[in-house]
Amino acid sequence: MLSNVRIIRFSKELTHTIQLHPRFFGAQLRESLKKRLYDEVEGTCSGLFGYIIAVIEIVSIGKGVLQTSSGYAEFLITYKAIVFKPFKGQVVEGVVTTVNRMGFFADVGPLQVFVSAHLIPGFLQFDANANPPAYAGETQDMQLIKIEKGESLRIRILGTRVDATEIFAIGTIKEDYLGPQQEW
Amino acid sequence: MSDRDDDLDREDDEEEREEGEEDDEDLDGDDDDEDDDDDDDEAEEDVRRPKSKKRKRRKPKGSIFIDDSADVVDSEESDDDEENEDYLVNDRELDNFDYSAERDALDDRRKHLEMDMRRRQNEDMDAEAIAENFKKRYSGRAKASSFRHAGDNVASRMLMPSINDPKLWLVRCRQGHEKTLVMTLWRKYMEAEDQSKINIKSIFTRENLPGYIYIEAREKKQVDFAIENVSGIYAQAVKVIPVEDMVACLRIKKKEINLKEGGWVRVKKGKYGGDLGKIIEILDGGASVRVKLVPRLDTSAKDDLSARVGDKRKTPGSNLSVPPQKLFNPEHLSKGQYSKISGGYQFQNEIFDLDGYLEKDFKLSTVEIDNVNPSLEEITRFGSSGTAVERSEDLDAIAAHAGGVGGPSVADLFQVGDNVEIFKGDLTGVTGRVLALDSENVTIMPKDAGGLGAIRVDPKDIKKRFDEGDHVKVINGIHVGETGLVIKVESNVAVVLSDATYKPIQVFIKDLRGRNESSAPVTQQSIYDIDDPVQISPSDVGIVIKVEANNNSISVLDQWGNVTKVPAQQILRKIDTKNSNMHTATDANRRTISPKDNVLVKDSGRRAVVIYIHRSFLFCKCREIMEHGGVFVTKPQNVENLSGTQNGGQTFSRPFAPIGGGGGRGGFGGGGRGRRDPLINATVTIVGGPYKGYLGIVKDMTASGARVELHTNSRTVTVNPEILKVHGSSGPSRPSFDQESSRYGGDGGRTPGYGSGSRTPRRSDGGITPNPYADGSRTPGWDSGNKTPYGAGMSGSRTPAREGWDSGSKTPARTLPDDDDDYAFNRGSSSNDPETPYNPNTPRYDGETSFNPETPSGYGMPQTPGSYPNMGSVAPTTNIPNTPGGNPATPYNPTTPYNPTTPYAPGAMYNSGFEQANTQTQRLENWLTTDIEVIIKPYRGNSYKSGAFDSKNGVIRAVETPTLARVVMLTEGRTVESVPIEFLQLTKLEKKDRVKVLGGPRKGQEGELIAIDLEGLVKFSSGVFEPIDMRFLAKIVS
Repeated sequence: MLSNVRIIRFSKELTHTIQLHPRFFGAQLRESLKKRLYDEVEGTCSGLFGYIIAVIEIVSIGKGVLQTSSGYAEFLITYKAIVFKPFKGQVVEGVVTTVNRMGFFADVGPLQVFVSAHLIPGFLQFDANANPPAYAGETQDMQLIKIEKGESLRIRILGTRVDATEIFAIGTIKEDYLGPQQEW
Repeated sequence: MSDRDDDLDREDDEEEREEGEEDDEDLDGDDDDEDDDDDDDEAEEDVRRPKSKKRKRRKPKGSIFIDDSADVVDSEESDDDEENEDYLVNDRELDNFDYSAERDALDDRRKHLEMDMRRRQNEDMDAEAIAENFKKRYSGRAKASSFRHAGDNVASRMLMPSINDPKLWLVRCRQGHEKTLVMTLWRKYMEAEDQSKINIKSIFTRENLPGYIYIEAREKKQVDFAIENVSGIYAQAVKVIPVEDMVACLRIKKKEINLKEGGWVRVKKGKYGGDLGKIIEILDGGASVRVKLVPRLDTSAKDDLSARVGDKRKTPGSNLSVPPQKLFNPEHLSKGQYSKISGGYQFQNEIFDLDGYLEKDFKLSTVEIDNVNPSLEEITRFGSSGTAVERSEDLDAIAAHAGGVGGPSVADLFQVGDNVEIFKGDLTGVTGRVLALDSENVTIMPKDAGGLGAIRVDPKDIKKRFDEGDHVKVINGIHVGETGLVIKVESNVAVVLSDATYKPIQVFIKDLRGRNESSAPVTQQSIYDIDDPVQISPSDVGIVIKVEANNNSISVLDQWGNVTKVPAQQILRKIDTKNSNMHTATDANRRTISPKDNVLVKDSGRRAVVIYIHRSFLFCKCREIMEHGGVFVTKPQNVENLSGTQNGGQTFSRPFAPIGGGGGRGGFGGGGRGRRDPLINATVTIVGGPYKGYLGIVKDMTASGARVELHTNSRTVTVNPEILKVHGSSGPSRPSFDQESSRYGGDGGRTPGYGSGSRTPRRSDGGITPNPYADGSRTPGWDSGNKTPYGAGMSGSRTPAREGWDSGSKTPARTLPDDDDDYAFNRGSSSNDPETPYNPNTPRYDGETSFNPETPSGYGMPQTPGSYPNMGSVAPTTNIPNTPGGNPATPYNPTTPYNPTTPYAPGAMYNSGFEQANTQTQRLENWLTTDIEVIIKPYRGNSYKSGAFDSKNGVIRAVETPTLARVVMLTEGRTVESVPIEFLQLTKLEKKDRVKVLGGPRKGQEGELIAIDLEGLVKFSSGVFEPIDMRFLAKIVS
């Protein structure tokens, strides 16, 4: 199910500065730099570009500049990375992680989206007795729909809150073609 | 068209208008006027008929007075104004009638002359000017007719009272009955047989001057006559108002009293002081109101009703404890305590309606009518009885009210950049953005209103507008200061998902402000922020879960899981999270957890982030938990660390303090700054200098050297760390390896398989550089504030995070492939294929789990592990740099002599994994030696001679090969067997046993076991005492 969840991703050229300790100055220097880069940027989130999901290519590693005060060398690395920034109005696909009375949380890759009970179609009612808790109901064509943990669904992002280290979004499934999808 | 016709047409127009106005006048005018008008008309007709073919039915009497003074051009306008004034001065006109009728005739003639003159002038003007002229005239007229205000224009100044006018008398009366008395007097006047006798001009009263009425009359005796025999008026206190003050008496303060049924009031004092009430009835002509309140019933009254009823001697102190608001419920009372009345109940002399609300009468002065500002919560308390429509009407009313008089100023309500919607006037429905503000108007730039340009609107006509998904901040009400995302917008109320609690809150739209506005006000919030760890008392710490709106108190979740509301002043201090990042704990898998690590909470199965660690309490935050803002307290044993990418990795990347003078010390100083030194608490021997040969424990590391507490005399001396030789650990976290130190040196300080699980820890570049990655990763990471230290060998620790990513974790941690070579290779080849590095088949997580106990951080002293050769992963003696040791099976090389049981069993402390590690430590040594007692055990399912000798003790009499010993069994008739080493284990030692050292620098020496601790203290025959790892000791049997 997970593999069905697609994230709209963009590739973006970014730069990152690494200060390298002198002990790395050796044959493995480039490797060290690469590792540092992967460690330091992947999985991070910036307000401007969103989540940096993966570095796909290192475009260039600049010449190291020694810092006179510390002995560290500073390298400017230009790299290409897949970034994921959710936009208002964007339709994404996610997996439900938590369901409660107020709505449910879904993960869209690294992004957490909250869908409030206000933004769930009226025919889906919260069933507190269900285990796991779920929103359940029947569509007009008598199809039983259940939103519980692990369910994949399609969400439109209504708004985002961008913090320094994470992005949080609220979404809706109260529109046509949103919510759990038949073909899944 | 001739001038004449033109003129007539115009006059017709005017007449029509005037007629309309006269109709009004007729409605308003009283009987006196009618007579006047008739006379008036006759006079006019005489003058007009020859000129106007169309008969003028009436001429407004107003013009009688005006023409003298009015400017010709503005005649119509002035007419009108004067006409308005006329209503006020009708009585005066009565006196002047004869005079004015005559003048009117004269003036009318003159006016027509002037009109003709002006017409000629108009002809000379061009069309545009005429248009302008007309426009001016009519626009002025429209304004005048729609906005009748006495005080604003020039002409009204002429009407200021003079000494010739009737005087104003101030009369005392009964307070609260002013309005009824005015009506009484009016009725008296109307019913009087001879009205002229009373002959007062007007009566009025002022709201803000209770207990007085004003009477306008020429003489005092008229006043006296009017108030004679009217009860409630104190005739002796009649005063005349000075002429200059008369106008002030009539100046109407523009103060609307929003008193209507269904409106909201706030009780000013008493038991219900501050409570919101809903007006259900207006009594006494507006002097008092019947208000519906949520009762505050004294619950104790139920038990002791008789004592309470009629007990008026309540001490003032009893008011301090106001009973909570609770609806009256007759079911909670016995029948006798209350009585049922029509439409409700009576209880304790109070009346309750059927819904349980209290109905109480209040004087208007005891309730607040303006600035009630009811909050949503308060209104919802009344909501149960009202229908949804009613409720939304209420909300509308409140929202509108708050925007009106007495509400916050324009600048408070709106800010430049706010999105607003016009909801009143011609432009209703237009949305736009606020461009500018001044004291009265708001300039907005409409959206999608092609070419309309910026418009100025009244702030009362616009309201803020938010869309779903907007990030907003609450600027008013009980939720003030909270931020959140708008989930839903109803007419005046928005549902906002709070950022802090993830709970939906209802807020008036007027109380919201867009958070991304350009002019974000720097509101000084409390110094405590949500999720801050704070010290509540010397023993208790807590996490701030809510900062109250007034900033005065803070809700704190303490380490016992209790939520307390603490005044901000009582908080001892805010814990500096920079330092607290050093606090660590050990999770269920004995891995280090630090703040900001992602953990899996085992009992709930939730993922959470560690906020703060206090001793053995973890404060974690999980967004999925609703209560306490997602913060909860748990034990470290209840969580599993998922991150490893953050601080958790630091312990792994700790450099190894090179041991035995191997020459690798350099890495130590470079990286260890700011962290605890691994040498601390280590038992060391000083191998040089004046204290050479002394044994001690390192207490501290300072710039000048190591502070070593000597065993002999408990003195603490400072020694150069270079001349210290580590003996072994003083705690279970640190297996001893003193005997290994020489070998260590031979490795050039290289650390075999440090840090990670046993899978692939080995760096392939082996002994060339002593642990460059370990040190390097830490140091730059530390210094540059980078939270993600990395080390070549620590990849194992990240795997869980990787796992988390696969399952949809929020922030995927970058995970390293299994070993360096792989890593580099994958990376190098994958630049065009982003999927490769995420090869999900890498079973590192499993590997990590199974070998987890070997992670040194599991043993209690998280600061230091990793800085010693990790006994867990690979035995030092097996350290062959070229073997990456990628196969966990290799250590169990069956050909290697195997010594499965540690003679001394600290089993409670070492888990199986560690024991395994210990056996590995010894596995390659040629420990077989003579005269030591051994026990024969099965090994890997095989038993020596099919188990015939299992668990039998024996003594090694001779070592045939390094892996084969000739053992003389101590039982069974002293059989002699040749037993392979793997079936031999050492026996358990006791104090005072004669022991032989099997490994380390003192290998082969004999001594007496003096004490058993984690290490055994051995007194050698030379008289030297030395602690030796118990695993290296064997019992001597002679």
